[in-house]
Amino acid sequence: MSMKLFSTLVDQYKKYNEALEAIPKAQRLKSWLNASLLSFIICLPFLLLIVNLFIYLKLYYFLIGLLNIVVIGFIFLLNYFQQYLLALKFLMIVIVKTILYSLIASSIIWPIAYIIGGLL
Amino acid sequence: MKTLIQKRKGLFSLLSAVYLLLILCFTIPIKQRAIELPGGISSIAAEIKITDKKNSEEFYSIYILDYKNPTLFQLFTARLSKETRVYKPAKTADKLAFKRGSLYEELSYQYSLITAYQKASLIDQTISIDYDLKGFTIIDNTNKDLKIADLVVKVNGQNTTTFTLSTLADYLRDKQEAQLEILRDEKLKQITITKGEDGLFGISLLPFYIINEAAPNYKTYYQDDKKVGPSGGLLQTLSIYYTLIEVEHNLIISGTGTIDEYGKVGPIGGIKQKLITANGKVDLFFCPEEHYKEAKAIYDKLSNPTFELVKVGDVDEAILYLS
Repeated sequence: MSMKLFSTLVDQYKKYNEALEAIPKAQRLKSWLNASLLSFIICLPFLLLIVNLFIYLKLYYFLIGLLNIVVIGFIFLLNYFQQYLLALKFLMIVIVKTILYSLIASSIIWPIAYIIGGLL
Repeated sequence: MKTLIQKRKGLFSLLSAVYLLLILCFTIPIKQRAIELPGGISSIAAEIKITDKKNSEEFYSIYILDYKNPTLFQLFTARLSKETRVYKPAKTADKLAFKRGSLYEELSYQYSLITAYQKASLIDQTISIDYDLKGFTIIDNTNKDLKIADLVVKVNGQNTTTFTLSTLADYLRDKQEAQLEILRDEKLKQITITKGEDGLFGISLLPFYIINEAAPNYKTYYQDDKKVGPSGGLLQTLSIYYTLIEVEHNLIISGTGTIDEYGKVGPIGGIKQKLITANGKVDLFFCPEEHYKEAKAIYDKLSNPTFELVKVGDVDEAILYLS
């Protein structure tokens, strides 16, 4: 089962790369910038809401958790919109990229949060 | 996307307006408003260390957070919360308020050290403290010629070291004008003050001491953080006292209240937020008698309070309770 999933993923990734390379670099960059802007516009109110609530110190770790979710949401939207704007449909790649980048983002956010939380 | 926007122009405009309004609520600061919030507890042992003694880790001061110019959203949530207080802050510049807070903290440590060493010396003869009154420092004033932290060394040619705070107040009470000699940035200055229409000079003074020698010696670290103010006075005194006499209680002891050089506990601000902060963190909370009624009402409303609320008028009452 997992072997099948892995081979499907590798297959999807190859197809995705081929489809992506067929698109001019300038268009890819434009789609990335537009996807960033769109994702940022969607995530900004949530981000500001969390930042505003940081005055309540007892909610600190809960808010860090929410911040982490917003970051994951941003990564997902960024990958999704990038493909959407290029008229590509590789949802599995979007999910895998989101998981990978989210793990990296979370491993940066939580140690910093614990250091700052210890100083509070 | 563009066609979708053009098709639903009205809906898109409405959503954009709501979005912008939301962003403004989250970002635009509301001037002349401040929020007082529960903060945390901080170990006194981290602020002062007594040489050759095991510094008591049982005493904690409580700090609250003061958040100026909140956003509309923060103001809204603060009004909904029972743990916060929204108020109009005084028009004192932040820098000046911090300077006053730092001076209050310095004086608080002077009084705490003097009181704790004197009380401990009654138990252990090897403990001693030698100090002198240097003058009276200006902690608050409305006079343009005077600044916070100016040290009044002479009044009408008389050394202020010959006064106590109450005798100085009595001396000035029937004067319409007074010639002050002040020490500012190590330089002496002559300033004349006159009573205003309210019959007051418009200055607040507190005694400023120099500690020449203490046995055992000590080192202070309170200047290293951004927490300022005198409300930890009582707990500082208790922490120093119990470190000196080397007595432990196996409790997390906290509380609030200023201290004067005679060991009397004075009132503070933000008692409600301090009690909320203490809940779940401490075993004992000392409260100045001026705030006890208000504190008891808040304490009774706390669900499952983890601490005992104790009313104290001076350091001796706190020591008696702990013994």
